[in-house]
Amino acid sequence: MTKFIRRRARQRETDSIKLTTAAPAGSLRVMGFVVADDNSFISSMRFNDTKKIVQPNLYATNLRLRHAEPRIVLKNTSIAPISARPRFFTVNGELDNPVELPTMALLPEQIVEVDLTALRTAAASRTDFDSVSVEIENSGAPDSLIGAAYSSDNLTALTYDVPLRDSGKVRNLTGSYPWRIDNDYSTIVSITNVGDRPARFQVEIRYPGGPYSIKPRQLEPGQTAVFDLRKMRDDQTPDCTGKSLGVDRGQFHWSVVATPGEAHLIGRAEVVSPSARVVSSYSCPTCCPDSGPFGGFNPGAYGLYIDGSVATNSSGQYYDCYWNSYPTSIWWSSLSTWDTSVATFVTGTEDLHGEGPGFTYGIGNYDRTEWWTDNMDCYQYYSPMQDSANVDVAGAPDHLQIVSDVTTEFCTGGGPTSLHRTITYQVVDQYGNPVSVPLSIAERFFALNDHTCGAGAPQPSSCHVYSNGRFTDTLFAGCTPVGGSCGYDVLNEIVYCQSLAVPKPLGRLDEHVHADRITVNGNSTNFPPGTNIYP
Amino acid sequence: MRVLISTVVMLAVIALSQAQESRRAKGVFSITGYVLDVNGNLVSGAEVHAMPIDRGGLVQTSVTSAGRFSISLDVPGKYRVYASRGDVGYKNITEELFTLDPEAIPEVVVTEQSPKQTTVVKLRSKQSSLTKFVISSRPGEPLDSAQLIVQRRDNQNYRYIRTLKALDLRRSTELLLPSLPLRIEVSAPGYETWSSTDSAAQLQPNKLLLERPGTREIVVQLRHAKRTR
Repeated sequence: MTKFIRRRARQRETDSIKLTTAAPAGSLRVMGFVVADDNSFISSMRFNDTKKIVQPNLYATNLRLRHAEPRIVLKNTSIAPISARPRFFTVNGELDNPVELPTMALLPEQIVEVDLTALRTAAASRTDFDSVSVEIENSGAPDSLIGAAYSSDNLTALTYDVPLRDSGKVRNLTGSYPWRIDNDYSTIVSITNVGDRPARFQVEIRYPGGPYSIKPRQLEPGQTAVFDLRKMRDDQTPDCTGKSLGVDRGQFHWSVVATPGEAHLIGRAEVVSPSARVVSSYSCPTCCPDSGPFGGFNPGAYGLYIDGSVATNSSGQYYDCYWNSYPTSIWWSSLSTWDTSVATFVTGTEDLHGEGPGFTYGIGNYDRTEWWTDNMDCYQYYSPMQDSANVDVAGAPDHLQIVSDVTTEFCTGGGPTSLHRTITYQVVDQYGNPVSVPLSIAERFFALNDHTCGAGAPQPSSCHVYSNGRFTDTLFAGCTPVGGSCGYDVLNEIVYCQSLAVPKPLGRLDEHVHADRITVNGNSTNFPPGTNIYP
Repeated sequence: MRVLISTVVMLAVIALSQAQESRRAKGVFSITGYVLDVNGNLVSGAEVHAMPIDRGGLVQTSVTSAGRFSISLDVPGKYRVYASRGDVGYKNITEELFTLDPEAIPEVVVTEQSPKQTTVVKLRSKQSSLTKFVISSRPGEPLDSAQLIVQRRDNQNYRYIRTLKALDLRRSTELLLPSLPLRIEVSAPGYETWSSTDSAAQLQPNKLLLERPGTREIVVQLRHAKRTR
């Protein structure tokens, strides 16, 4: 261990350390710390292997500005002058007004502390600048600029050490970080797209009893996704399977997905405990990004009716480089149908729309990326994939048809008996064809008179979805000591609850429900199957 | 004063009805639970139905996912819950079915105080069987009333009793019976009691198991009881 001691503290002075070894690459692991005599400042020193830097710019995510004093130091490691231009982004990236500082000239080997006055001014007036991502554009070669960034919290006196480095190799498009939120610990994970094209990623939070899965998400250039694990646990935010986070520690895994070609994402987790005086930053990559997806439409068949719509769903699996699998949904690159006169996909959605009666296939195209490693770097294999689903489109709901009509006796133990009539209806189109798709059906009562058996009056059913457009109604005056002809009369209208339109009447039923006689539209005998009931 | 009380009562009624409507709108009433097969395994893809039995209404349905179901209800009340999957389980229910087979068709009471109830539904491996009873006496021996009792052999607490009057006895009585070992008894004042356990009844001794769906006819001819001195 080597200890450098600055004998006289001088404000705003910066320095750097360079280590050179003749040993093979990877032989040395170096770690350093900067500690003030009174412990008012503690931060780690990050050493950069300049031979492994793949591109000239530097990036950082989650540089705190709220109640915090940020500092950034840059060094030109080359023997030629370079220029650097710092830019700071909100979570919305290029879409919000980023703060751009003037281009700085750095002489060979020069160390410069960046003047962040403009950033502090912006942070004081914009709440979206509580935390920012950083981009330092560099005019020099990939290994010509290194830097350090941190924020000192004015309230807790904690120092947040923020890695400031190039976007790294392909393996940096993924990460697995420890997290904990017990006691006053918090963990915030931020993932930033530092590339110049959209990139998608997926998160799986692993813990005993987990995992907690988040659907694939797209980040535009400069955008940042932030995951506050304590807030997610406290709010009981459900994941894509409805599961909530119920533990206080585990592993946060993320990977670039469904992004063929070049992508540049960086991520890190910041674990903080003010009482324990802990600030830890984790940005460990795994060996390679996750491979997949392997899956397709789920379910593989959909039923809808003309002018109706239904949301499709998908499922699949990703595999990380340790062969752990986790569920995902498919990010379709395009959706279409084989016969557009039968059904089409609604633009910008994964919803099918019924155009005409018949059968067709829904066809989805998606990108599968698989990764291979030679233990030095990762290599991407891209395969365009396709899956299909059966799509049945029926005619629009028009009226009702009797499926079965059965009358039995209830309350047969010795007191007054009461008839019980069970009628099952099928919703059909104007030609009498069954509309065998999930339909939302309700009742509307008109002219309901008193229930003379003494039981409470029946109430109309609100909108409920019935699979296959088939539902059963029971007519019953109840078991009461009155018996005989007691009961109630109601004019009952069966309606189809359309999502964005007024309910459509499907059948009108004049029901006289009495203990000894149940009459529907004048028939006390049961309807034969196939009888049509019109609105 | 009377006007004030009337106003207060009216406001209370309006508030109560609004509260009920509000609860209804939020779908606070529900029955959730599990469907198990005969071996106690969870059954996925089973259709589950909740039939209101204290008064009529639409039968609400749901499909199990990983054996679990959830049915939202509009109003509190008594419900019978039953399930089917393909050719097994119950697709329709009657009073005799749920009286004799409450494990497969449990009664669930949903109230304002207990708006969310849970239950477990057993999926019977076979459907119910429609059984016609023809009950008669010998010519010249009038039969004014009779009592039909159907009892589970494995649990005698589960019994269905039906009183048949002269009008009922002039036609056959149809019952949907579960595919479970049953004992059937028919009695009438002044007549010998007929039982399916009697060898004279020419049925399976000690049990009656109606296994196949379809209609089965059981003819019962009652005989006058012998007078004792």
